[in-house]
Amino acid sequence: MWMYLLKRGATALLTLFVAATLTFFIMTAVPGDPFLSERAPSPEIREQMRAKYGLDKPVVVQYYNYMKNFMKGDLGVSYVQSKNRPVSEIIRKSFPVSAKVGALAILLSVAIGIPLGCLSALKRDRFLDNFVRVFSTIGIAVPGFVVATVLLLVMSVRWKWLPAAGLNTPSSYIMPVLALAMYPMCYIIRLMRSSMLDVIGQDYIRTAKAKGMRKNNLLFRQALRNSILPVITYLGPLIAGILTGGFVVEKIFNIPGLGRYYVKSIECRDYTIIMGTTIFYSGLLIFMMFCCDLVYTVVDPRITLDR
Amino acid sequence: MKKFTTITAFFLAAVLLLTFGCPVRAEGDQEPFEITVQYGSEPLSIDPNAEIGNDVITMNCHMWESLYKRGEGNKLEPGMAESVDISDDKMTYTFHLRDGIKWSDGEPVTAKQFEYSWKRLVTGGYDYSSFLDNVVNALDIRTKGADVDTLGIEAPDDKTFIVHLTSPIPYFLEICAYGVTVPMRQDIIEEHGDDWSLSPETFISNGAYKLDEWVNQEKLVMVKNPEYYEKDKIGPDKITWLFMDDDNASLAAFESGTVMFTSHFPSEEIQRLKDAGFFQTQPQIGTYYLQIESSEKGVPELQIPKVRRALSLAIDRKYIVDNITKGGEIPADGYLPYGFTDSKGDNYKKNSKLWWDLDDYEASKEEAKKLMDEAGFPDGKGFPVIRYMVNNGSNHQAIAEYIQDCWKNVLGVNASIEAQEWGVFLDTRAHGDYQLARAGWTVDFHDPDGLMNLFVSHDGNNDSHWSNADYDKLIGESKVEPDPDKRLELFHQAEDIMMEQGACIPLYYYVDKYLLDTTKYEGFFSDVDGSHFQYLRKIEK
Repeated sequence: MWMYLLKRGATALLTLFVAATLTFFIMTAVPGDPFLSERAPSPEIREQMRAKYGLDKPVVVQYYNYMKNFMKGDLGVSYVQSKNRPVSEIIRKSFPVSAKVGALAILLSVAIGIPLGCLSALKRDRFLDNFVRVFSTIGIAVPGFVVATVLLLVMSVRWKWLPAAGLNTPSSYIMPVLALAMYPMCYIIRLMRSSMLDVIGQDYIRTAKAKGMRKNNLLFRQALRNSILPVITYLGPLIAGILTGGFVVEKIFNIPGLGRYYVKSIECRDYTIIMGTTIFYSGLLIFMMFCCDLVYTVVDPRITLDR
Repeated sequence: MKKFTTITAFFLAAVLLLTFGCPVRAEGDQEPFEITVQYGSEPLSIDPNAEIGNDVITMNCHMWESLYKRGEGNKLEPGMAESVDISDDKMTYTFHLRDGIKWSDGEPVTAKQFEYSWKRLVTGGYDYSSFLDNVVNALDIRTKGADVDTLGIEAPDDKTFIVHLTSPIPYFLEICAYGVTVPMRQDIIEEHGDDWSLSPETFISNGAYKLDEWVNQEKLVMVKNPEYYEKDKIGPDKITWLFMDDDNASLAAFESGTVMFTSHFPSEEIQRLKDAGFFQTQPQIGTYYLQIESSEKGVPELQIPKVRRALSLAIDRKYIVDNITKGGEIPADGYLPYGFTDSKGDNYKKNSKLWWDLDDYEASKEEAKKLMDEAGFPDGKGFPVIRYMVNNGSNHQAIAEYIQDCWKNVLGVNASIEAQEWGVFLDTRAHGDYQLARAGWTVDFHDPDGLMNLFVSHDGNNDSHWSNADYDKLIGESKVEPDPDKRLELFHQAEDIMMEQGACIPLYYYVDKYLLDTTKYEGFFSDVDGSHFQYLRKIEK
């Protein structure tokens, strides 16, 4: 077990290092720089700014300096988006906001997705199954920004039930959570349905049924445990992705989360934020994948970590 | 009995709490006037010297005040200064500060704080560091590293601030009203470094409002500054600025009543919003144009003035503003927009040459064909395919497609459109790696200088690299000409040269577009230094 943890830790560090290195060099290879704008400052001023943040040095030296500071826990300061604000502070303040909305969206996706997927499988080709299939297909096909905009138009503009922006009241969470949860919820429904259909068609389920095992026991103790593995595999990257914020949803509902930084930092070449958010996301993703592996062992005793 | 006593006690406590525990509005007290507005995404920095972009300029003009200001009704009037003495040669300005002016922490505002701020602006390497280039030695300090103490400003005492200029620029008082020239607190900045502008505790300002809260990526809240000398003239008690950068979401926020003002909304909705009475515009001094790369990297055929003029004449500008932008933009009939006046108050445009008749597109088309024939490309024969570059988003691509169609139909010239991501677009344009690209510019004060500088050889912002010695000479003369009318005449001559040579292809003049219910509010205005809510009032019904 300890050997496994050690190996996973070493692989995680290596993955993080590779991700950071690749991101750094790709990012600096893209044309443009943080100080370029429509009304560009004069060349002397741009040079002064580049020198202030060490961007006048060769890329390799910049990389070395960044990694050196990173090892000391210093992610630098934002060049553009939140000028001079430390990147670590930006992540510390905005991640909890994204995580709160994201956690609610995951809960909703799982709480609705798993039972509905199971139910759909058990009621195969009946009205409920057909309805769930159509609903989940639409949910997967319709992009998040359309869901968000429709919700906004109906709930906020037309009926004026919910606030259009911010997270100032409990009710203001409803629309962003729904918009964020729609795709994963529908995906989980479909995943769960097909996986459950596969499991309930297995011989051991038929045998158990023939031997008179109670339906609930059969469903929850046998079928569910075996059919939930694909959902767990999906949940790992999903949790990492949703907790760190959805760019579109945060933009539309004006949520001060981390998601907005991902895309905007690339648009304005805010190098330190690009690096900080990438490393943070990579770290979280690696951690969530590890958690998934742990959960596998709980759900399916045939899987062990030592192998 | 015990239960009864408990219930009675509970109710008594509740009644007492409701009666005495809640704040009671005294007679005559008015309900606080609080507004929530949307004015774009989060500003990059709210340090006044480091201002970049309309959003921060607008926010800061509420929290900061310079020697002059834009007062109620958009009048340029004394701000921190009570009066100014201007020397006969208009090269020395002596400002006398008001008595009793204070910072939001109660400290007095002094001339030394202006001196500190102006020196910081010139040496700080900010976007607006060149703003004071007309002050004696500013250019040498900024570009050649001369001693900052040689900057042509003096603060002989707490109440007097003297500025020496290199040329008698007529818009100097406008510079003194602009957000980057406000006083700054040396003690605070030195104690907190770059962090000073990040939190309300250290962001001490001297304007009508002070910073109350700043939630990254969400909102900035400002409240009335109790130390402001004209606090009773100020309208809203509290202004909340929501940082929204999605047009549809901004519109939804406006229509649901979450914000009472927004400057971002989809252009497809303009007609509906006009009909509803919410869509408003105010002229903005700026031009949207196409620039042609004129260095050796450019295409030889595009360097022929007749070709450039033909390409310009082949475009129906009225069609663009009526059917594509649809936001009240003014079709361009020259390079310089409306908004500049001479000493008699007459508009600059009154004496401008008419380069094409906006109402007679047919005549323009004929003229364009003739010019193309004369240039040796009848019906576009032998003319290369033009690469027309735009950045993603907004209406740039739609405008490009329409112009592509005009050139094909009128001149037989083919153009290909390349849309680039914003950062890449800026980089490509700055390096001259394009043939023809969209561009736009708005000015910071009511003077053509900023727009005209874009075509001066070797100007840092001349990324079309167009160069003309006569043009440079005229603009150089305009910088030292003390007579405002003669100066405008020099701009006329310079503009004639650039239009004759086809330095660029002007398409339309910008307007400020926003949503505001003017049946409920009055007193809002916008100008070169952003939008002003400080004099906003509710209309009493």
